Amino acid sequence: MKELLDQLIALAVEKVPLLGQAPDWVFYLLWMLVAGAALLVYASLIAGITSWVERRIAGRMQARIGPNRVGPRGFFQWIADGLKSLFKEDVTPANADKPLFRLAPYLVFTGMFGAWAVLPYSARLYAADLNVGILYVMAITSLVVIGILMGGWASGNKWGLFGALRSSAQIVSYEVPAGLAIATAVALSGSLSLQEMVRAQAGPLGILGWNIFKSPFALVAFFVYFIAAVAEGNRTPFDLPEAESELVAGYNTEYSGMRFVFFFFAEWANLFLIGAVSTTLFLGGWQGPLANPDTWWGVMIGAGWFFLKACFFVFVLIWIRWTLPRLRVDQLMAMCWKYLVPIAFVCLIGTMLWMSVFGDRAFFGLVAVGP
Amino acid sequence: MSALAFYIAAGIAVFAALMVVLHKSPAISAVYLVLCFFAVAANYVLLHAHFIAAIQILVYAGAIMVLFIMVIMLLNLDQEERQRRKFGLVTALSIAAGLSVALFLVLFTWEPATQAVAKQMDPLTFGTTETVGKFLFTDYLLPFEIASVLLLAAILGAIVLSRRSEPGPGDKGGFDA
Repeated sequence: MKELLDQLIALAVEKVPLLGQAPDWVFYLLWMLVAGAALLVYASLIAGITSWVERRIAGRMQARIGPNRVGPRGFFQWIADGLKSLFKEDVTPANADKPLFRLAPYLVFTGMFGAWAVLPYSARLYAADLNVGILYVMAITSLVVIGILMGGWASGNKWGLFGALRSSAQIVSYEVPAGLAIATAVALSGSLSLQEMVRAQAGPLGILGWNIFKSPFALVAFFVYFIAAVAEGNRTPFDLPEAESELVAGYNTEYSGMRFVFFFFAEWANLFLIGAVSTTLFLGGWQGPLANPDTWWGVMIGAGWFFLKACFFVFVLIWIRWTLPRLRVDQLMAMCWKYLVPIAFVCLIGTMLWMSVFGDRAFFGLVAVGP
Repeated sequence: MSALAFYIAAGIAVFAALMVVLHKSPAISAVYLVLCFFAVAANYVLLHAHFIAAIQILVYAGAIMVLFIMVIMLLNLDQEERQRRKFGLVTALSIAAGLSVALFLVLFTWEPATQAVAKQMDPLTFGTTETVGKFLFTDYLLPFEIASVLLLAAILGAIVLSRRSEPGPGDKGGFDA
């Protein structure tokens, strides 16, 4: 990636006049624009295709057909839907708080999309490798809930307000077990940078070094993280903020046209994000058989592993959504504070004790790894 | 370049902070507060303090949310309510000016011990999680622990204040599987 970039820059300097005298930050800015645009295209494709995949799988699970008219097996349904929404009227309710109502979808979108910048797509394939990577992901995704709360309140609609309040209670609560489970993974990897965390999970076969195999506590912590991530992503069985059967559509009731699409774009892109972060923290990221950070084909295979693992999670999330019923609000809170938080604490402390006994040994202390 | 970035971020921070107090709608003030925190976080990044920047956003985003809920629940946004001023403009301005002068006097005359430490440190590792953690658990352990006890007391206080009466026998109040 770096070598290719250097060659491209050299070529650009040669072809474009005056570019050779430009200061460094011009290149930096250009690189950020290019990386941002590439990521946006990637995220859009994933979100769009996921919307089609979800509807197809939902159809299967409910013994109906699902979208199958536009293109082969309905594959272009998401493009048709996107175009349709683009041309629809964008209605702002008369008693809405207009600036906040208009701003909210962008906050939701930015918060979700900002996290994509640090995802370790492969060993040398990433937009940025921050030394506080996972904290950055947690910080930037907290914009999502501000957006939801703002949109729900600014709609001037009681369903929207209920959805927004539920969403904020839910996300504030589930940040706690999610954060503790993330701390478990951080303790095992010894770094906050997502690339470093993946590197620390190297091991025999590319599998045995994964964090979930480092200690039994980490295995439990993985499930705690996953449940909390589903809750933070407002997915069924935790989709109380937009519970269709009681709140019409919750926080996005009043949204229409492209602003509505922004919310749903964020939701589907968030599926991949949940998968990608879970993979990075616990399932070895791009580590896998034949993945190798030193050769270009090893990097490509690593990218394949990362993508496959994240897509597996996307499928599991869809599967859960169309299988389980919705929880009640009190059950949701009780599950978080009475079950997940204590379990997450036990996992964190247990992992630390485990590490002090078994050190860095992988696969439940059976396999020695590293130098 | 970094000076330019500083002025942009600082300008946004000051503008947003002004809008927090000057805007009529409390909800929009809360949103400007978010903007202000992000601009301050950008300045932390320019100082190589990535950890502080991330924590700043992480902690205050939650705080903003709570603030927003307070706005929704406690203030019913009546026009009369918004117009009422407790202090006159002159009083408010003179208090602000006095505080600013005091702040500048402190900043220009007093060099705290932390600044002397910061000068000796490698600027590249200065703001990393490792360095911050090491200092918190060695040189500044006592203030750190005192702050955590204070926070614990605040959490317990919130629970005590918000707790309703003892749950009755019929009230399971929990998660039945």
